[in-house]
Amino acid sequence: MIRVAAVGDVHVDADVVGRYRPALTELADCADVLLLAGDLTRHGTVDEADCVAREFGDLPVPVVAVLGNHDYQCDQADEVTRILDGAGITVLEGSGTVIDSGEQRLGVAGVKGFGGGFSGRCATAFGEPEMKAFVRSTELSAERLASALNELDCDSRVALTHYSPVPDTLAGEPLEIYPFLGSYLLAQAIDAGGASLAIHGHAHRGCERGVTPGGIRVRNVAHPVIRQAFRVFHLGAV
Amino acid sequence: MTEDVGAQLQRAIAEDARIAELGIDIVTRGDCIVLNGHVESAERREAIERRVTELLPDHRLLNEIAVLKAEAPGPAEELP
Repeated sequence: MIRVAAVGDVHVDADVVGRYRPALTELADCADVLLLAGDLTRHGTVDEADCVAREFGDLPVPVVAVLGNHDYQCDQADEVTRILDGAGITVLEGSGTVIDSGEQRLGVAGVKGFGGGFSGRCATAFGEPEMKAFVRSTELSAERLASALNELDCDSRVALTHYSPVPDTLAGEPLEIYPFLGSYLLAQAIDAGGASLAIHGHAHRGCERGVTPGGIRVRNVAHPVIRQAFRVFHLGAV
Repeated sequence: MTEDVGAQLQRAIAEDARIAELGIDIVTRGDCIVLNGHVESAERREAIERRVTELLPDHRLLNEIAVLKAEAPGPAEELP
Protein backbone atom coordinates (compact mmCIF):
# COMPACT_ATOMS: atom_id res chain seq x y z
CA MET A 1 0.00 0.00 0.00
CA ILE A 2 1.15 3.52 -0.75
CA ARG A 3 -0.44 6.70 0.61
CA VAL A 4 -1.12 9.43 -1.94
CA ALA A 5 -2.14 12.93 -0.87
CA ALA A 6 -3.49 15.26 -3.55
CA VAL A 7 -4.95 18.72 -4.05
CA GLY A 8 -5.35 21.03 -7.04
CA ASP A 9 -6.33 24.61 -7.78
CA VAL A 10 -4.70 26.13 -4.72
CA HIS A 11 -4.13 29.43 -6.61
CA VAL A 12 -1.38 30.60 -4.29
CA ASP A 13 -0.39 34.26 -4.04
CA ALA A 14 0.96 36.26 -1.11
CA ASP A 15 -2.48 36.31 0.55
CA VAL A 16 -2.56 32.50 0.72
CA VAL A 17 0.94 31.82 2.03
CA GLY A 18 0.71 30.05 5.39
CA ARG A 19 -2.89 28.87 5.01
CA TYR A 20 -2.02 25.32 3.89
CA ARG A 21 1.09 24.96 5.98
CA PRO A 22 -0.53 23.80 9.27
CA ALA A 23 -2.27 20.89 7.52
CA LEU A 24 0.83 20.11 5.47
CA THR A 25 2.85 19.55 8.63
CA GLU A 26 0.78 16.38 9.14
CA LEU A 27 1.80 14.94 5.76
CA ALA A 28 4.55 12.71 7.10
CA ASP A 29 2.01 10.90 9.29
CA CYS A 30 -0.55 10.28 6.55
CA ALA A 31 1.10 10.26 3.11
CA ASP A 32 4.10 9.05 1.13
CA VAL A 33 3.74 11.64 -1.63
CA LEU A 34 1.80 14.85 -2.31
CA LEU A 35 0.40 15.46 -5.80
CA LEU A 36 -0.52 18.99 -6.95
CA ALA A 37 -3.03 18.95 -9.81
CA GLY A 38 -2.30 22.31 -11.43
CA ASP A 39 -3.40 25.93 -11.01
CA LEU A 40 -0.79 26.35 -8.33
CA THR A 41 -0.76 30.12 -8.89
CA ARG A 42 -3.26 32.85 -9.83
CA HIS A 43 -1.50 34.26 -12.92
CA GLY A 44 1.65 32.14 -13.32
CA THR A 45 4.10 34.85 -12.26
CA VAL A 46 7.56 34.39 -10.78
CA ASP A 47 6.44 36.05 -7.54
CA GLU A 48 3.50 33.69 -7.21
CA ALA A 49 5.75 30.71 -7.96
CA ASP A 50 7.96 31.85 -5.09
CA CYS A 51 4.86 31.80 -2.87
CA VAL A 52 4.04 28.24 -4.02
CA ALA A 53 7.63 27.22 -3.29
CA ARG A 54 7.32 28.60 0.25
CA GLU A 55 3.95 26.96 0.85
CA PHE A 56 4.59 23.54 -0.73
CA GLY A 57 8.38 23.28 -0.63
CA ASP A 58 10.49 21.74 2.11
CA LEU A 59 7.89 19.13 3.04
CA PRO A 60 8.64 15.73 4.59
CA VAL A 61 7.35 13.81 1.52
CA PRO A 62 8.09 14.16 -2.21
CA VAL A 63 5.87 16.72 -3.97
CA VAL A 64 4.93 16.11 -7.62
CA ALA A 65 2.97 18.66 -9.66
CA VAL A 66 1.59 19.55 -13.06
CA LEU A 67 0.84 23.11 -14.07
CA GLY A 68 -2.66 24.35 -14.87
CA ASN A 69 -4.11 27.00 -17.18
CA HIS A 70 -3.66 29.76 -14.56
CA ASP A 71 0.05 28.92 -14.39
CA TYR A 72 0.36 29.84 -18.10
CA GLN A 73 -1.46 33.19 -17.90
CA CYS A 74 1.68 35.40 -17.86
CA ASP A 75 3.68 33.26 -20.32
CA GLN A 76 6.25 32.42 -17.64
CA ALA A 77 5.59 28.68 -17.32
CA ASP A 78 9.27 27.81 -17.78
CA GLU A 79 10.31 30.19 -15.00
CA VAL A 80 7.52 28.93 -12.75
CA THR A 81 8.69 25.35 -13.36
CA ARG A 82 12.30 26.28 -12.60
CA ILE A 83 11.35 27.92 -9.30
CA LEU A 84 9.25 24.93 -8.24
CA ASP A 85 12.02 22.51 -9.25
CA GLY A 86 14.41 24.60 -7.16
CA ALA A 87 12.12 24.13 -4.18
CA GLY A 88 12.22 20.35 -4.65
CA ILE A 89 8.81 20.14 -6.32
CA THR A 90 8.94 17.83 -9.35
CA VAL A 91 6.94 19.38 -12.19
CA LEU A 92 5.73 16.90 -14.80
CA GLU A 93 4.76 17.70 -18.38
CA GLY A 94 4.79 14.63 -20.58
CA SER A 95 7.10 12.99 -18.09
CA GLY A 96 7.02 10.74 -15.06
CA THR A 97 8.68 10.01 -11.75
CA VAL A 98 8.78 7.07 -9.36
CA ILE A 99 8.30 7.30 -5.60
CA ASP A 100 9.56 4.36 -3.57
CA SER A 101 7.74 4.03 -0.25
CA GLY A 102 9.81 1.01 0.70
CA GLU A 103 6.71 -1.12 0.40
CA GLN A 104 5.70 -0.09 -3.11
CA ARG A 105 7.07 1.88 -6.06
CA LEU A 106 4.49 4.37 -7.28
CA GLY A 107 4.88 5.84 -10.75
CA VAL A 108 3.32 9.21 -11.48
CA ALA A 109 2.97 10.46 -15.05
CA GLY A 110 1.69 13.96 -15.65
CA VAL A 111 0.56 16.47 -18.23
CA LYS A 112 -1.48 19.63 -17.94
CA GLY A 113 -3.89 18.25 -20.53
CA PHE A 114 -6.34 20.43 -22.39
CA GLY A 115 -9.97 20.68 -23.49
CA GLY A 116 -12.07 19.46 -26.37
CA GLY A 117 -14.95 17.72 -24.68
CA PHE A 118 -16.26 14.23 -24.46
CA SER A 119 -17.74 11.36 -26.40
CA GLY A 120 -20.32 12.37 -29.00
CA ARG A 121 -19.95 16.07 -28.27
CA CYS A 122 -16.24 16.67 -28.73
CA ALA A 123 -14.34 19.22 -30.76
CA THR A 124 -12.98 17.96 -34.08
CA ALA A 125 -9.88 18.91 -36.03
CA PHE A 126 -11.86 20.44 -38.86
CA GLY A 127 -12.17 23.89 -40.38
CA GLU A 128 -10.18 26.87 -39.18
CA PRO A 129 -6.52 26.49 -38.23
CA GLU A 130 -7.35 27.71 -34.72
CA MET A 131 -9.78 24.82 -34.28
CA LYS A 132 -7.32 22.28 -35.64
CA ALA A 133 -4.60 23.65 -33.34
CA PHE A 134 -6.92 23.40 -30.32
CA VAL A 135 -7.72 19.73 -30.98
CA ARG A 136 -4.14 18.89 -31.95
CA SER A 137 -2.89 20.37 -28.68
CA THR A 138 -5.07 17.97 -26.71
CA GLU A 139 -4.12 15.03 -28.93
CA LEU A 140 -0.42 15.72 -28.33
CA SER A 141 -0.96 16.07 -24.60
CA ALA A 142 -2.80 12.74 -24.46
CA GLU A 143 -0.10 11.03 -26.52
CA ARG A 144 2.57 12.36 -24.16
CA LEU A 145 0.60 11.16 -21.13
CA ALA A 146 0.23 7.64 -22.56
CA SER A 147 3.96 7.50 -23.35
CA ALA A 148 4.94 8.78 -19.92
CA LEU A 149 2.70 6.21 -18.22
CA ASN A 150 4.05 3.36 -20.33
CA GLU A 151 7.66 4.30 -19.65
CA LEU A 152 7.29 4.09 -15.86
CA ASP A 153 9.05 1.17 -14.18
CA CYS A 154 6.98 0.72 -11.02
CA ASP A 155 4.37 -1.36 -9.17
CA SER A 156 1.39 0.94 -9.76
CA ARG A 157 0.75 4.07 -11.81
CA VAL A 158 -1.13 7.31 -11.20
CA ALA A 159 -2.00 9.75 -13.98
CA LEU A 160 -1.84 13.39 -12.86
CA THR A 161 -3.51 16.06 -15.00
CA HIS A 162 -5.08 19.46 -14.54
CA TYR A 163 -7.87 19.01 -17.09
CA SER A 164 -10.39 16.24 -16.58
CA PRO A 165 -10.30 12.96 -18.49
CA VAL A 166 -13.99 12.22 -17.90
CA PRO A 167 -17.30 14.12 -17.72
CA ASP A 168 -18.30 12.30 -14.51
CA THR A 169 -16.26 14.60 -12.26
CA LEU A 170 -17.65 17.70 -14.00
CA ALA A 171 -21.17 17.11 -12.66
CA GLY A 172 -22.20 20.47 -11.21
CA GLU A 173 -20.44 22.49 -13.90
CA PRO A 174 -22.53 24.08 -16.68
CA LEU A 175 -22.78 21.64 -19.60
CA GLU A 176 -21.87 24.47 -21.97
CA ILE A 177 -18.30 24.67 -20.65
CA TYR A 178 -17.49 20.93 -20.56
CA PRO A 179 -15.32 21.28 -23.71
CA PHE A 180 -13.14 23.77 -21.81
CA LEU A 181 -12.78 21.46 -18.81
CA GLY A 182 -11.34 18.29 -20.28
CA SER A 183 -11.16 15.71 -23.00
CA TYR A 184 -11.97 12.05 -23.58
CA LEU A 185 -8.51 11.76 -25.18
CA LEU A 186 -6.92 11.97 -21.71
CA ALA A 187 -9.06 9.04 -20.54
CA GLN A 188 -7.94 7.00 -23.54
CA ALA A 189 -4.33 7.70 -22.59
CA ILE A 190 -4.98 6.74 -18.97
CA ASP A 191 -6.59 3.46 -20.01
CA ALA A 192 -3.81 2.69 -22.50
CA GLY A 193 -1.11 3.50 -19.96
CA GLY A 194 -2.25 1.06 -17.32
CA ALA A 195 -2.95 3.61 -14.59
CA SER A 196 -4.57 2.56 -11.32
CA LEU A 197 -5.88 6.02 -10.52
CA ALA A 198 -6.30 9.35 -12.31
CA ILE A 199 -6.10 12.62 -10.39
CA HIS A 200 -7.15 15.98 -11.81
CA GLY A 201 -8.36 19.46 -10.82
CA HIS A 202 -9.69 22.44 -12.84
CA ALA A 203 -13.42 21.77 -12.33
CA HIS A 204 -14.20 23.93 -9.28
CA ARG A 205 -17.92 23.20 -9.40
CA GLY A 206 -17.56 19.52 -10.25
CA CYS A 207 -17.66 16.46 -8.03
CA GLU A 208 -15.03 14.11 -6.70
CA ARG A 209 -15.55 10.71 -8.26
CA GLY A 210 -15.60 9.31 -11.77
CA VAL A 211 -14.35 6.43 -13.86
CA THR A 212 -12.76 6.14 -17.30
CA PRO A 213 -14.29 4.03 -20.08
CA GLY A 214 -11.65 1.40 -19.20
CA GLY A 215 -12.75 1.29 -15.55
CA ILE A 216 -9.98 3.38 -13.98
CA ARG A 217 -10.99 5.47 -10.98
CA VAL A 218 -10.83 9.25 -11.44
CA ARG A 219 -10.71 11.77 -8.60
CA ASN A 220 -11.20 15.53 -8.91
CA VAL A 221 -9.15 17.10 -6.13
CA ALA A 222 -9.78 20.76 -6.97
CA HIS A 223 -9.67 22.61 -3.67
CA PRO A 224 -13.19 24.06 -4.06
CA VAL A 225 -14.43 20.48 -4.52
CA ILE A 226 -12.63 18.74 -1.66
CA ARG A 227 -12.76 21.80 0.66
CA GLN A 228 -9.83 20.70 2.77
CA ALA A 229 -6.08 21.03 2.41
CA PHE A 230 -5.71 17.73 0.53
CA ARG A 231 -7.31 14.32 0.07
CA VAL A 232 -5.52 11.07 0.94
CA PHE A 233 -5.83 7.85 -1.06
CA HIS A 234 -4.44 4.50 0.08
CA LEU A 235 -3.50 2.74 -3.14
CA GLY A 236 -3.25 -1.02 -2.89
CA ALA A 237 -5.12 -1.07 0.42
CA VAL A 238 -7.98 -3.38 -0.62
CA MET B 1 -29.76 45.91 -17.73
CA THR B 2 -28.92 44.13 -20.96
CA GLU B 3 -28.58 40.44 -21.66
CA ASP B 4 -24.80 40.97 -21.83
CA VAL B 5 -24.43 41.69 -18.12
CA GLY B 6 -23.59 38.09 -17.28
CA ALA B 7 -20.88 37.90 -19.94
CA GLN B 8 -19.53 41.34 -19.01
CA LEU B 9 -19.15 40.36 -15.36
CA GLN B 10 -17.78 36.89 -16.13
CA ARG B 11 -15.05 38.35 -18.33
CA ALA B 12 -14.24 41.15 -15.88
CA ILE B 13 -13.84 38.71 -13.01
CA ALA B 14 -11.64 36.39 -15.07
CA GLU B 15 -9.59 38.88 -17.08
CA ASP B 16 -8.98 41.61 -14.49
CA ALA B 17 -5.44 40.89 -13.33
CA ARG B 18 -6.40 41.84 -9.77
CA ILE B 19 -9.01 39.08 -9.70
CA ALA B 20 -8.42 36.20 -12.19
CA GLU B 21 -11.27 34.04 -10.91
CA LEU B 22 -12.84 31.64 -13.41
CA GLY B 23 -15.14 29.63 -11.18
CA ILE B 24 -17.65 32.23 -10.00
CA ASP B 25 -21.35 31.76 -10.83
CA ILE B 26 -23.12 34.95 -11.84
CA VAL B 27 -26.92 35.02 -11.74
CA THR B 28 -29.08 38.05 -12.47
CA ARG B 29 -32.44 38.44 -10.73
CA GLY B 30 -33.99 41.66 -12.01
CA ASP B 31 -31.68 44.40 -10.76
CA CYS B 32 -29.96 42.04 -8.34
CA ILE B 33 -26.65 40.31 -9.12
CA VAL B 34 -26.00 37.09 -7.21
CA LEU B 35 -22.43 35.77 -6.98
CA ASN B 36 -21.66 32.21 -5.91
CA GLY B 37 -18.50 30.15 -5.70
CA HIS B 38 -15.35 29.68 -3.65
CA VAL B 39 -12.12 31.67 -3.41
CA GLU B 40 -8.88 31.24 -1.46
CA SER B 41 -9.02 34.41 0.65
CA ALA B 42 -11.33 37.10 2.02
CA GLU B 43 -9.33 39.69 0.05
CA ARG B 44 -10.25 37.93 -3.21
CA ARG B 45 -13.93 37.81 -2.25
CA GLU B 46 -13.87 41.55 -1.55
CA ALA B 47 -11.98 42.33 -4.77
CA ILE B 48 -14.71 40.63 -6.80
CA GLU B 49 -17.39 42.56 -4.94
CA ARG B 50 -15.56 45.87 -5.55
CA ARG B 51 -15.19 45.19 -9.27
CA VAL B 52 -18.83 44.19 -9.76
CA THR B 53 -19.97 47.28 -7.84
CA GLU B 54 -17.71 49.47 -10.01
CA LEU B 55 -19.17 48.03 -13.19
CA LEU B 56 -22.81 48.03 -12.09
CA PRO B 57 -23.20 50.69 -9.39
CA ASP B 58 -26.99 50.81 -9.83
CA HIS B 59 -27.50 47.12 -9.16
CA ARG B 60 -27.99 45.37 -5.87
CA LEU B 61 -25.30 42.79 -5.12
CA LEU B 62 -25.77 39.57 -3.19
CA ASN B 63 -22.28 38.20 -2.59
CA GLU B 64 -22.59 34.52 -1.66
CA ILE B 65 -18.94 33.70 -2.43
CA ALA B 66 -17.35 31.60 0.32
CA VAL B 67 -13.71 31.54 1.43
CA LEU B 68 -12.22 28.05 1.31
CA LYS B 69 -10.61 26.47 4.32
CA ALA B 70 -7.43 24.43 4.16
CA GLU B 71 -7.90 22.18 7.15
CA ALA B 72 -6.35 18.76 7.72
CA PRO B 73 -7.98 15.99 5.67
CA GLY B 74 -10.60 13.53 6.82
CA PRO B 75 -10.17 9.74 6.60
CA ALA B 76 -8.25 8.33 3.64
CA GLU B 77 -10.07 6.60 0.81
CA GLU B 78 -9.03 2.96 0.56
CA LEU B 79 -8.47 1.86 -3.06
CA PRO B 80 -7.29 -1.34 -4.78
